[in-house]
Amino acid sequence: MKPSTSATKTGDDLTHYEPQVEGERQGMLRIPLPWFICLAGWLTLALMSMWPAKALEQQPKIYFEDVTEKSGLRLERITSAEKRYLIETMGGGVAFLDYDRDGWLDVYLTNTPTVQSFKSGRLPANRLYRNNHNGTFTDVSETAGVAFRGWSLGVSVADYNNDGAADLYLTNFGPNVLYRNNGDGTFTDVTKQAGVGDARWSSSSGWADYDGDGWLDLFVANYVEYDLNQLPEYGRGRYCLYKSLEVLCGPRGMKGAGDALYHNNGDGTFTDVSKKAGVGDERGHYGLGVAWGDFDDDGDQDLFVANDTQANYLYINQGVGQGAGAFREAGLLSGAALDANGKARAGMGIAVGDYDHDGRLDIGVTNFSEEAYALFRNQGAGNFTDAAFTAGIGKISLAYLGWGLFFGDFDNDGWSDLFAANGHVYPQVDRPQVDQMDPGARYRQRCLVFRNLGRGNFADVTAAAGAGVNTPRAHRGAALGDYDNDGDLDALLMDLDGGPALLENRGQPRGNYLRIKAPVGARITVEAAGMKQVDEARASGSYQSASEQVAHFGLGGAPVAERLGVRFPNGKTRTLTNVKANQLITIDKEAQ
Amino acid sequence: MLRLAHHIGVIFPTAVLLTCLLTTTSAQPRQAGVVQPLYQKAREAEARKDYREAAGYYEQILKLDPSLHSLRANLGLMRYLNEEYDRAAREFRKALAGGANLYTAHLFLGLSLLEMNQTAEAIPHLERAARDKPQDSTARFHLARAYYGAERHQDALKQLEAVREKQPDDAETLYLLGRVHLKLSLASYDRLKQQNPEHYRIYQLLGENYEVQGLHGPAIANYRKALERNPKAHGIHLRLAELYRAAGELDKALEAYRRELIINPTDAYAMYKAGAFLLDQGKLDEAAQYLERSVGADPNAAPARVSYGRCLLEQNRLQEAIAQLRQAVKLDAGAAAAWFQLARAYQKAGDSVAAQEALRMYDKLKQEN
Repeated sequence: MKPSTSATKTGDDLTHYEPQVEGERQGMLRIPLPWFICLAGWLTLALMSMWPAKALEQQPKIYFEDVTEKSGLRLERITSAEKRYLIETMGGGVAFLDYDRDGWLDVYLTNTPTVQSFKSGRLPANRLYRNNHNGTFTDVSETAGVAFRGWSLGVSVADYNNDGAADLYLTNFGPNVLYRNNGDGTFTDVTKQAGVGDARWSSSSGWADYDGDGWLDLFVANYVEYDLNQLPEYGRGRYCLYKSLEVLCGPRGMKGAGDALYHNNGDGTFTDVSKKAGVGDERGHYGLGVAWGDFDDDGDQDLFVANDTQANYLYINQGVGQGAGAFREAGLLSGAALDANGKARAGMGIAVGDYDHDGRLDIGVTNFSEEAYALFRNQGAGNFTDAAFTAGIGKISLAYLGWGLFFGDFDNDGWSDLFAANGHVYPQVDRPQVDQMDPGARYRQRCLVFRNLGRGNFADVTAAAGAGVNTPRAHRGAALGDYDNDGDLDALLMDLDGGPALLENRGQPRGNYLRIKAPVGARITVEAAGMKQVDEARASGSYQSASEQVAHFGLGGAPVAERLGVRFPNGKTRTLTNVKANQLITIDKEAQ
Repeated sequence: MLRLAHHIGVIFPTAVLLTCLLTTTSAQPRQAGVVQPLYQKAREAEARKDYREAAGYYEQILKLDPSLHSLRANLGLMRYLNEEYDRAAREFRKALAGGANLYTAHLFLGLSLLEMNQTAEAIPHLERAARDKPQDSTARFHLARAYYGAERHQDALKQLEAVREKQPDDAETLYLLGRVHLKLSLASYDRLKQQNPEHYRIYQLLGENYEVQGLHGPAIANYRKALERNPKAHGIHLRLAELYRAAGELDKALEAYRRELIINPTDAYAMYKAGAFLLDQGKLDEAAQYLERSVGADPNAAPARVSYGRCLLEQNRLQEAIAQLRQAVKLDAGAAAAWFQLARAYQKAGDSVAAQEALRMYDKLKQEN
């Protein structure tokens, strides 16, 4: 493991370039070099850039090692074997965040009880683990003041008060919680004064500056109205059967809880603008996943909400500065709300990324088993088409019930791969009387890893991706981050019945990379090795989880990126040229 | 068999008939001064559901005046309600001999006989009741019960279809209808098996039976056996394809679709299903070929047009897509999927007004359903 800002894989002597900054000079890149070295470097670059991404098909291997035990990450869980109630099968989340700003990713884990233990007051605690910089973590939950005890499903991370420290937002069954990072290793519960304690059953949350005022706003996807004192009886009723099996009831037949958008007032308080902004979910769809992104390429942040068994929402931001009523729901006409036949699926987690290098953000969604994941390819002009089958992920995913999902360039070849965490909701599917032709519906399921082949399609590389990926678990949340600072993306998963799983990326060979830390919502474009990649810094996505807020770009064999462009949420832009590979570049707010 | 009939539909008519009978047969005793108090006591006992006591009062009246045939029918009804079916039948027979209300007496005599498993004797009385009041579903329903008990399934079916027209959601009627169809199906199956135990239709029928039950494994095994016996049988590869598809075995499904179309190349439905499958797999060009042929072979099939329209939409052949989808909604204005695809096609073609209008239709249909 080595820090991301250190030497390259291809040799320091050939990769020292002075970046040519258009506009303001970027502070971290400041090493001038003699022109002859530069010339030699360009020759090398020219040769290396001939390593086309497509030629990598046979070369890199995506491989993860399960390092959970060694890492010390664990979670004391209370679970029920039968999952007799919907709420017992929906959580929980994981987060990668650098809460102490030491340059190493720490970990936050949410925790859920059972109905029985909740009623008896026996509540497991959420955990915060500090990264020890050596592959291990130390539990600092109590000293940090974030050992929340309740029914905590999801977590999101954002610097909501612009003090440079990562704050935490917990989505719970019961009032949600906002923990403000005090900057000294501790947090303070500021929910009440902030006014974001949504008391409904919340699932995922995500942050973006939708109105361009420089403050991150908060969207919360809520699920169903649920009363622990009036629980539907397991296996009894129309919505309590799966095939011929008696199972937990819901969500069908239940009333949707409605979603919430909280506008950040910039003074530590928020205002609920859900209704005014048109994102309050008046239809009462069962919200599970949240992802912000500029899906129509107009410079502001749009919003995608994955709904369970009902049409997804795609809220198009009508424009920065328009304030109230700023969103237009365009899911159905866009093609990203339903499957191609017009049927709603059980949307869970969301991945956002430009997997086909057309400069537009595409959307992946995990769904129920026998529904296939969705891969909504952005065709521009507000149109999406589900390319899951043509891209090679539809068929294999039919057998899986997916939750956490993210794009990530695991082999650093310049093309975003796809990682999905799976697991069924009904333990009863393991019983032998389930129809023998059921396509592999098992309660515990392995993850799926798809390698991007660079032609708009993927190869299922799960089997060779390591035991940690192939271990069947009841996965729920999943997050992405380079926790060991070795320049590749690792994965953090939550097993509903087991606790966290940390998968370290050990794939070889790997290409070079560039990691960009920019304000949430910033659009980043990297040009290297003849490829143009686009991504955004985001604080949303996947399922009930928070990935690191770093945009990670694989560069293949390219030792430099010829061009690095950043478009900030306020519309300002910045361009750097000849940016050396294998480093983390921070573009902070002062640079805007 | 008759015990089964005994359990069917006893509750269904009783309340209705009780009201009907007591209303229509309420006798006006001639010796009102003597009989009236007894009659009043009988009605009070009926109201208390003490049918034995009520029967006693009716017997006392009939001793005073045996010519009160309508009250004898009342006595029969009390015996029936007290589950004394043999005594009920005796009283109904006497009442009929004396000229009592024909419909109710025949009906309850038939019902009493049915309860005693005397189906053959019950049938003429129930037929008479049904004939007397052809618009009344009650007699028809019980006549169907009797026919079913006598294994006259076609006759039972005829009566039940008539009842279902008037009472389409009645559970007892639907249940008995299902039983009758099952019996007819089994009878056909038994006859087929006797004639040719290895006929492919036997295995096809078994496959369909398993498929309906959701037992896909045995269904596939039997369909395969059917094809071993008749490799050119139409429709069986298509069933296999659908089962493989549901099971996520997509390669096998595709192969089965293709085999169906080799032996059944002009079947519009098979072409539609194969095309729709290929479309879902993202194989647009191949899907378009099948769907175009399907629409050509059966221009009035809205589902095929919807799939073809969707295929054209995904191929970015927008005007062609719109034409197909407009035709689809013309053929079936209630097809929500057609309106959805049409809305998407308009949207993609840049006609947002038409897109919104089509989307409104889609929303409306979804809400109605």
